[in-house]
Amino acid sequence: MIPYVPAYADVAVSYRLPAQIEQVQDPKLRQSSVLLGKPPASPQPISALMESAAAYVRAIAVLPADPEADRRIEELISAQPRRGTRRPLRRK
Amino acid sequence: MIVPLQTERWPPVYDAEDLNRTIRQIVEAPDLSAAFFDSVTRGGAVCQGDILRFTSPVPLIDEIGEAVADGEVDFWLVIGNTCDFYRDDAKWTQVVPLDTIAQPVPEQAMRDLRSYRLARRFYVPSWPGADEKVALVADFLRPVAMHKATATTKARVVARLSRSAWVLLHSALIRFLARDDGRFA
Repeated sequence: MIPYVPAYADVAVSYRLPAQIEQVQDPKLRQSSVLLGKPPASPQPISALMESAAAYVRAIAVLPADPEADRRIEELISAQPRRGTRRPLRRK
Repeated sequence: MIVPLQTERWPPVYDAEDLNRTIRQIVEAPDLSAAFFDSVTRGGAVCQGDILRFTSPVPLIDEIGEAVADGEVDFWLVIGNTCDFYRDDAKWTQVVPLDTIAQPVPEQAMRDLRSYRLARRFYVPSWPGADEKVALVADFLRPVAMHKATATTKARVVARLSRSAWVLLHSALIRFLARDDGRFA
């Protein structure tokens, strides 16, 4: 039986219930868990989501966006041969 | 009792330092393709970051407000959440088209792609068995709502990201949505 998980439980904990998961031995996935069953339907607390998102935002700062690179790549892709046409989805 | 494996997901990440290291490692990997992909048999039927193969135009609203079908695309990147594939109340997922650049890609362009400093695009290296004649680049600006059933009926998962590539994709998506637009620079 899967234990009850309160909606406000820390999401990292709620997804690691011992009865539901087993630790992965693969070194690439050592920090991961295999979930044996559907994820709980309870909404995640927004604070946990924000904390996780903030960590990503801080981490991606090691790769600051380069607008010039975006411009160069758009130019290159636009110059590639195009497949298919543009056609209306609604009949006039 | 051991319940049969139905799905797999990675836990949320809160440690920016760990993410930072992971991102650096994959971006600097000498063999990007080898570090980028995992077995498609590991995990559930469809996961965020999967590369799907199916041919479709990109449905768009054009510059005069008309719904149009644009071009033909063979490969798509799943950006919708993995957990939505297991939820009955979520019918849709989101995919973005993978545009092609003919090989050989100019040196500067390959440096740009491999640097992962593009705000609106995401470079996907060749996976085992992929067509080596083109380089594939996802376009975050053209997300498409796709019924989840398509992912398992019409489409085929041809490649699945490793954990570190998934972290990189996740970070790139958050940067795309939360980026500074330059007004205050």
